[in-house]
Amino acid sequence: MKKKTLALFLLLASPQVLRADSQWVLAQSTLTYHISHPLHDADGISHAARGKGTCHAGMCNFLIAVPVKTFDSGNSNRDLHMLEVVQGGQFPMAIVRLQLPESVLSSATIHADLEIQFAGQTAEYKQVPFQRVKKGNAIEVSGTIPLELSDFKIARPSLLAMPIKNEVPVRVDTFWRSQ
Amino acid sequence: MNGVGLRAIALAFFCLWVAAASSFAQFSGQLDTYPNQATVASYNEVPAVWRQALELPVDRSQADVSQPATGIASNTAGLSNRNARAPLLHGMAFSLDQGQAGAPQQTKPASSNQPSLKDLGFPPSTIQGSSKEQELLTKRSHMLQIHQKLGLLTTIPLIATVLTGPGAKGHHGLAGSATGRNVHMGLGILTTGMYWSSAYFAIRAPKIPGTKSYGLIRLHKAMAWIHGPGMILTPILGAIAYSQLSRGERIHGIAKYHAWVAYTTTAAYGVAILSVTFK
Repeated sequence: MKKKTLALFLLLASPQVLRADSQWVLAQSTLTYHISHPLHDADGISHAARGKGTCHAGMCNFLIAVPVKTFDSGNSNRDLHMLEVVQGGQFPMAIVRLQLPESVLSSATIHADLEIQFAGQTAEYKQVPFQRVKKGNAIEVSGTIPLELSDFKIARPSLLAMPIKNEVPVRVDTFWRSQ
Repeated sequence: MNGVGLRAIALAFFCLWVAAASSFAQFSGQLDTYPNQATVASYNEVPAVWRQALELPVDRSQADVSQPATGIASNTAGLSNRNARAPLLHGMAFSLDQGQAGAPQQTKPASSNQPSLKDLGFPPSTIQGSSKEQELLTKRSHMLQIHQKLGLLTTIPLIATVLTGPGAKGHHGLAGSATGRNVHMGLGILTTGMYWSSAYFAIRAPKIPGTKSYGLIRLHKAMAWIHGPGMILTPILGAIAYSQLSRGERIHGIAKYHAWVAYTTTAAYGVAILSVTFK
């Protein structure tokens, strides 16, 4: 009878056991890319990123994605041209994946290896530093991804025959909540 | 024997209660969160056997469990129809969804522990790429680049036309030389031709559905309502002035405004270029 009881217990408790240890959800975010041209600079901002992290057996997998067309640089013509050069019609999402040990999540500075899918290409950025600040029951994670257009085989757009810089740093400000 | 059975039933209820309570904690956590909230699991991916075991409606529309969480509104809208066991189902379905994530475009096959794009709750139309849309963007961009190059090149004959204007008109009531008039006219014709060629590529560039103009591009477009008519009126007035001067007459009538219309057109054209250059 004890065996039956134990079996019943295991059966009913199994969903809890199999469930991921913890989950993180991106609550709010601001992603800002910065482009530099000899005649002017511009920032494109998106608040439309969504993200999720699942931790299991001491390792956490995070996924953050943002529709490319949600970036607003304050000029519709520039935004549409940006969409064209990054092939936003064919590859509408910019996707970031990273894997971290769960223990690192409590550090003030997190160095993450990022795998970024963008414009139909995938590039890796190693040891990108992010600052982590606990705010109430959320954590704020912010940093800058040193993105380069050449990493994604993106032809640099030009104005008056002058191309923009290859470096397009992306500032990341995110609030995560544990579930 | 009965005592053991009762204990087993009590234990079973306890386990169910723990499972429901912990799942509900996750669920309520979503309700007080934010527009970026990831999607709730897909109800239809829960095996029918489980649904029946839980006595939940098999029809997705009855359960309303799996509304993609596009924000607080969509989450709370679905709440009224959810029955009390929905959170439990949600918890189970979520764990299933991890492994079943379909692979829409740009989505890597997810392992059991890796979130997938599907988990994030983006509408399929947002995730799916479209080569047609890309073609449209490419065509538009290509045409606007030609517009930009031709427009910039047009500034050369435009400035030259403005500078040769006084030589065509002459000074102090005296007619300018025929050569001056002809050079000015020739440059004017070249300017007009290049201008309308450039304008053609801007006008014919495909529009992207669902996009609105914002920023200084609006000023750029607004200027077209000044320099566009100006580029029609200026050559007409110039032709009248040319014929008057050729007949040895002083410029009179509407032709007197040729120069001012030309200056206004040139100024609007300059503003249009600057509006997309420095910001």
